[in-house]
Amino acid sequence: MYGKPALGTVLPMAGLTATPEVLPGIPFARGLQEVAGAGFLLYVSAAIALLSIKLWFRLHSSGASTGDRT
Amino acid sequence: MITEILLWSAIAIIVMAGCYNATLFVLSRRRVRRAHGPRRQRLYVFLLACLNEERVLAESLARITGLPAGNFMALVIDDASDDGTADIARAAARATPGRVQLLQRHLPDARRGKGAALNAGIRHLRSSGLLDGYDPHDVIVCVVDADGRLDPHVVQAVDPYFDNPRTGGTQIGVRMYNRDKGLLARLQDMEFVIYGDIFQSARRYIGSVGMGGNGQFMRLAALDTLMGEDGGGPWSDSLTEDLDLGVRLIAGGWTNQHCTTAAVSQQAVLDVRRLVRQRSRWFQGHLQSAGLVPLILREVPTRAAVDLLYHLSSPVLILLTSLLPLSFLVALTGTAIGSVQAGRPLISPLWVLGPYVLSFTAAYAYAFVYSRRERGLGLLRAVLLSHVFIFYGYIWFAAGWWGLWRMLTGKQTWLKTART
Repeated sequence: MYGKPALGTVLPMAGLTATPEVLPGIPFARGLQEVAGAGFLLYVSAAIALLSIKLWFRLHSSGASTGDRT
Repeated sequence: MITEILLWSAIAIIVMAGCYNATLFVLSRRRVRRAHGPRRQRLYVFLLACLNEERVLAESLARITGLPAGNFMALVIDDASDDGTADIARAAARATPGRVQLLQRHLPDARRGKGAALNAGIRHLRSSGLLDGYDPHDVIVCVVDADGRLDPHVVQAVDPYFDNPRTGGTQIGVRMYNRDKGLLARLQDMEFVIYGDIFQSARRYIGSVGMGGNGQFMRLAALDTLMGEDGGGPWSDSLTEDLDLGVRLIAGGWTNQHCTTAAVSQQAVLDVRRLVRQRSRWFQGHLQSAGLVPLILREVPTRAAVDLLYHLSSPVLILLTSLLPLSFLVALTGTAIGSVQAGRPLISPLWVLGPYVLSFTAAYAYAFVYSRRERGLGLLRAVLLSHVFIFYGYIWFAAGWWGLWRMLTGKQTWLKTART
């Protein structure tokens, strides 16, 4: 997929000189960012789980090959 | 506290993608040292799966039959076209005896996707005797789209990669031959150049080079190892059968290569709606490829596996990231309204600087890479173009949500992208 360049984007909160809550739409904008953040935490959790499985496969296969040689 | 964590996590998506892109950019600048084996005389077979391609097929066949290579042929797989596709193939076969073969498929067996058509092509090569006497290690099968225009030196450029007996497939670059026909075509050309010259080139070091649907060269012996138990053929029925095949080659112990010195040129889509639809199909195919994860975990070496898992998970990242520009747009509108109400601007210069750095730093790297391919463009124009390219990437957001919707509603059939 050629979508990697799309993964750079912007943060709406930086640079505000007023309290965000008094501006219309800001709580909603912040909510969207929180949803994205929550999704990313889930993504990271799944990635850690998958990498752990991969590590287990690797250790398991290296142990098996060592067993073959001895 | 939780709110803060979630907001920082959203930023972490951008940081992670930025670090990944920067790493691959650095890797892509390194020279590659290729392993060599004995030089062999090889047969090149070009497979063209065609469904109603009369507008573009003749030009593509003329390019192939005119290649300055010794031992090659083209097999046109007509997937029950309604137009003159088969007639064009027959005419090319008459004009260049032995160079062009035609396989006609008929309904109800035809029109079951590109993978099924290519599998039929491989079966035909076997059953027709065209490959009799050839060692499958010395037969290179190349998938070309019907609108694909191969560089004349493509065989000479690709052939040395197959001197390494572990090379299963080699992907060449992809360009748009109508890139001068407007901004959308130009941006697609830039997209494919960046993908090839940065991401694919870097993956040569990682061992995770992917196969594309056009300009995909594969050793027949490698394809033979991917045959299903039903003997159907190496290609799956996935919407992105090329991605699927590339991963299964790596899992099978083969090495995929990326050739930067030759390219196939195809027709860019000139309409935004059709482009989004095309990308939705790719996105849906990418989601289907999640089924490859167990195979990657079991069979693929760790470094390549990590990269492939990241690559396969990019649809998730795209969907998550799509919320951020939306958030920015809502906040921008709200702040503009608030500024009018307050009678003074409520935005500091950080509004410009921070988002610009986060969004457009990559544009300079992309401009550097693209200007090296398009010498006539110049670096300054390439930099301006790459800024537009960043916004062009947002097409994936629309395509992503559309593709997800189609998957959730169980819609699997897609019309192919029409030629113009």
